[in-house]
Amino acid sequence: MNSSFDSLHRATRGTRGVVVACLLAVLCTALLAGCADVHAYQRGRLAHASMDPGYAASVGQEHVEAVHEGATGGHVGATSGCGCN
Amino acid sequence: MRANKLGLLLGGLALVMFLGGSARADDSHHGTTIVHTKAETSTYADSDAVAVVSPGVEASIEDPLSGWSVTGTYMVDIVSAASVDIVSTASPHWSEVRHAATLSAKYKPHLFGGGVSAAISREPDYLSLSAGGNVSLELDDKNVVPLLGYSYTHNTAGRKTTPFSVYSHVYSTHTINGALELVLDPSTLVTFVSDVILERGNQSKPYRYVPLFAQDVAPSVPLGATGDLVNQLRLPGKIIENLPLSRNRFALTARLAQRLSASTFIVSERGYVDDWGQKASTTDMRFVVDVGKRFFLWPHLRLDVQSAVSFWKRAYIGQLGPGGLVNVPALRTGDRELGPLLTTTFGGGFRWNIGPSLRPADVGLVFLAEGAETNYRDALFIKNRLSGFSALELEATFQ
Repeated sequence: MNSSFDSLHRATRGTRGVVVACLLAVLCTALLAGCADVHAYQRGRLAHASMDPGYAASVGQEHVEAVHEGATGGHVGATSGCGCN
Repeated sequence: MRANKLGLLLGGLALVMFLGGSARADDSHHGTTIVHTKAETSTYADSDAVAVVSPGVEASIEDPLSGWSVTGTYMVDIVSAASVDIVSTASPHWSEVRHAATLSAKYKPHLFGGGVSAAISREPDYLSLSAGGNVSLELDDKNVVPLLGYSYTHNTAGRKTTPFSVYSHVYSTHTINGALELVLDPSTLVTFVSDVILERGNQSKPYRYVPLFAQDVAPSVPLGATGDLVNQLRLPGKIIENLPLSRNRFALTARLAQRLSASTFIVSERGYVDDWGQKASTTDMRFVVDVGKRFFLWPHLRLDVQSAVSFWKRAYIGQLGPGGLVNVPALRTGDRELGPLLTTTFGGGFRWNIGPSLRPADVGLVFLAEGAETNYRDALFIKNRLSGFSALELEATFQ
């Protein structure tokens, strides 16, 4: 168990640079592509309910994730904490 | 028994909100006001003897033409715990109720908009109050939307049977968000969220005791050592957790959502670092498949891997003097979420739109079920934790 975790942890650390590079590449691509016009009549798919961040998630699920994980972030707005950890 | 009564009370409250929403919808039938209501009950249980039932309700009113909306939520956590941390300190099983509520409002009449929100969370030994706001601006014909937000949270932690005025810790949190939403093409949306979270004050848990070991014993304390073994090896006496009085946390999240002809792919990646030395990567994926016009099904995968904070030790070293413990480590914790771990979550859910034929999405039934395994790489008491989560939601929209 421990050795398999170590392997995974090492592999994750090894790919961290790749992930960061990919994120930066996506960011640059997005910034450039964001200049392209998508008109109102072309937004049917973008307006689909499943594109909303909260569509397939629940408040309880986000709370469980917040308690299980040491990291935080990714949401916008005021949320109160708890003494759960 | 008390928890059951509370559950019934909340069930009644959910019903009242639904009926109330229906009545308001009749009043606003000829206007542009839309009322959304939602009732949710989630359950959680894990192999560390923790069980939680969380009923909750949500209601919102919006006027899409004017650009305003108001949303309120209320949720209760009914927690029952007999985890290894409790058992190992010879403490009895406990149960607790947490109440959490939020209220938010948004106004976006044209290109420029803003929102405010407030939240409260109350437990017998913990009170958290939060308020914040954000502003956003639509640029380039709504293809680029930057957002800037700030929120402040005031937390008070105490002991269950002692008033806060007698004993409590206070810490505050300043959260600054910057987000950028970009339309890549007619079916693809990318969102970046950056968070700067500044925590100030004492956030050590008043109940969390950290076992100390003699210098020659500490290296031999095994991963996942049982409570009995820890009690056998540790030094006598109890010492409470002590964390640094400030923490600066930084996160960058990228989310890609793409709507295909009959499915939606959503992936997000969050990178996280803080000045306690913790680093984490969280990857989350969902693939929503349209199974007909009324039924949507999705698998969900989430992978969270994190390193330990710099002062993390599986076995902290102490020194015993004639009068008890002396020379203890200044910073110490038993919070396993501050140690190295890997959590893999897999599950899924469905949404069944059961509204009238003209607007089937006006009434929806949502069900989620997930299982997670957390591997603790360097912790006492347990090596891993299995957990299960489920949620059932009923949503209704009136317009």
